[in-house]
Amino acid sequence: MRKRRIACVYVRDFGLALWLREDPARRRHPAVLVEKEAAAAPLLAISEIAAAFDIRRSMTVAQARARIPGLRVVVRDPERERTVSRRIVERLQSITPGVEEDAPGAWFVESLSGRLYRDERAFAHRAHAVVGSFGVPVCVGVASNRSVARVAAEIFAPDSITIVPPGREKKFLGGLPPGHLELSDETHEKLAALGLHTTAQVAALPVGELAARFGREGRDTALRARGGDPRSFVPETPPEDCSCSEPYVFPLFCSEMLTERALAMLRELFRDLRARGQACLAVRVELHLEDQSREVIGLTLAEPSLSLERFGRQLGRQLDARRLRSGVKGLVVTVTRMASPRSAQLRLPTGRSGRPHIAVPANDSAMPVWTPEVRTAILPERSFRLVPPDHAPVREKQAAPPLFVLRSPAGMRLCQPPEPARIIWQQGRPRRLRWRRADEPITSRRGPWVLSGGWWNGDFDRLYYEVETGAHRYYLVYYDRLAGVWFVQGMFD
Amino acid sequence: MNTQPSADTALAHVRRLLTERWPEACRQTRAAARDVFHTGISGLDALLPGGGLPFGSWIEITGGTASGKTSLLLALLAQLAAGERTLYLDFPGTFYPVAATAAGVDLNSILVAHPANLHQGVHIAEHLLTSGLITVLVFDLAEQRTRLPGALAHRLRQQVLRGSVLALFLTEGNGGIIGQSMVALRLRVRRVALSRFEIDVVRSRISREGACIPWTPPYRRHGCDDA
Repeated sequence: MRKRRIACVYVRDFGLALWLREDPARRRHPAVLVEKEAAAAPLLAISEIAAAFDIRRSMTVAQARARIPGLRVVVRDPERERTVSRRIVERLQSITPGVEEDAPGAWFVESLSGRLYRDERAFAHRAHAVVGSFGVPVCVGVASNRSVARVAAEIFAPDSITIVPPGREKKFLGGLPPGHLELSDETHEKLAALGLHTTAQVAALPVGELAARFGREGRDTALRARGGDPRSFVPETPPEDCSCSEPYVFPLFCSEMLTERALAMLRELFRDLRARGQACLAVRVELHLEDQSREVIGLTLAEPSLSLERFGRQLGRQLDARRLRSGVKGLVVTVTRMASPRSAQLRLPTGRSGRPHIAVPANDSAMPVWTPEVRTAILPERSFRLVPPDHAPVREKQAAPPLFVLRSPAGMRLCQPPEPARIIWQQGRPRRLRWRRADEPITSRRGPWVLSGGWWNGDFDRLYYEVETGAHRYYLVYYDRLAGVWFVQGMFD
Repeated sequence: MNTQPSADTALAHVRRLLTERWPEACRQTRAAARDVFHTGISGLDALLPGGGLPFGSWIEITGGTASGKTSLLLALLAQLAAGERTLYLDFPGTFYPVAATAAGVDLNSILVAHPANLHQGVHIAEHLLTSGLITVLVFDLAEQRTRLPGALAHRLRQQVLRGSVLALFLTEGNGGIIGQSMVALRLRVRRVALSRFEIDVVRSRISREGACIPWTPPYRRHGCDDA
């Protein structure tokens, strides 16, 4: 019999990763995650940049701020973590039926290599891609049990995939420190005091010896050090159908009355589903007729919903279309398919306006899709905006607004926000442009054009130039007279 | 009674087998014969079989910083027919709608996304390509240094083939972000003057390589010119 293989999909510092994914610019700033906003709060997670400043988990917020005054302190949002975690479970259930949710940021899935996937690596890549689509760094470890799979996923760098072949678990764990064996701090310290610094050393001890010293934890540790797992893999089972029924002493004939009764029963079922955080995709309505026959009506929606109106409309139409042979003496309403409401779903039927209707919920940062819209403004960065496709009116082909600073705006890339640069002036002319890592001679320039505005549209006072550097590179730069700094606004690419 | 399959049935069977075995090759043949994207650049169109870029293929536009690759891309997008749509995955976040409008692009036909990483970009592309509403997919990978992982590239290629979409990749430097085997045509753009460019066909599986096409985009001037 083929032995079950388990893959652990792991996102390190899940709470912080969720915060970082919302805006790529956040990755450039040091940040830490805490349970609550307090100076003495311990750090739960540390971003890469903060770690480079030697910030450690054992520190408090005050200690970390003493080292980095501009440190961003993010308060953990367990509700958001739960929501995203449920969504990840749903997505993982689309590639394998066996999914178990572990601690935040770790999910165990049954590897289906050989059946649906070419090999374990192909399956691991698929799981990696599924969770990676949420914009978080993912590691995947595949092994014979949960414990080893988790270690394999944890110890390597983000975006890695590690396969531990069957029978090699003990060897794989052997060189690692025993801290990976899910030990309590006390046991960890005791093992260190005993001179046990690798898992192989722990595995060499008799099980009884460890059980006698450390109790149940010692027994579990001995098993884990040998490549086993005291806990078995328990995948989530899909929820069972829920149904509601009622008999009638006096048979019902009227479709309105039947619809009303069916919706009353459905309201009760939906209340249960709402409490479980689920929604309904399909409903079956059984009509038990007086002549002992049965009529079944299936109602299906395109997406999970708890809207009684939508089901009610469908049911009313179907009841009107059917001519019942006799009165209904019993009604059974069953919710046959349940799912969590997926806010990230896209609906793409073409609307009446001709623009594709794209439902992108504003709170879902995993699907940022926009339609650009040009508007008349003086400053280049204010001359357009990105609006959700649903909200953008369809307009005639738009003409570019008159921007006198740009001789030929076609092909320009706009830096958002403008990036600081250095321009070296000699003899009253700009000679060199130093921007990012480049230091280029300026061969020609056009300008300046003065753009200034008062308090009513944000104070700005800029001198714009188009400069050409060596190798025919053209930039749009400006001197901010209020700040006294040069900026690169864009480049003609 | 004649039980022999007709010649047409046998041909259809063989075609199906070939399509299953080499989907890309078959798609390119079909697209090249019937359905191509006319670039509007006469020199380039003349070079390509069918007179344009074949749908269902990957085209890479590469070049150095400020070399003119964005100008070429926008010039291509300006050739979209009415009702066709572009999904523009703007990884560097530098897409400038005013520049697109000036190049003649209809902004109503563009959907812009700012993915945080390649995974998210492919995820968005997959979702929107399955709708069948997207004609051109743009992966703006300028300033991007990470290589597109093979698994992601494979997934994306399946969608591009299935939807018969033209996938345009904008890369900087010498390319290499996308797998060599995936790209049907690689164009390198060089700027010779402010509004004059040269397009080199550095790699092609659909036409001859090594051609150099001079190109002057039809820029429209806006506002005053103090030159």
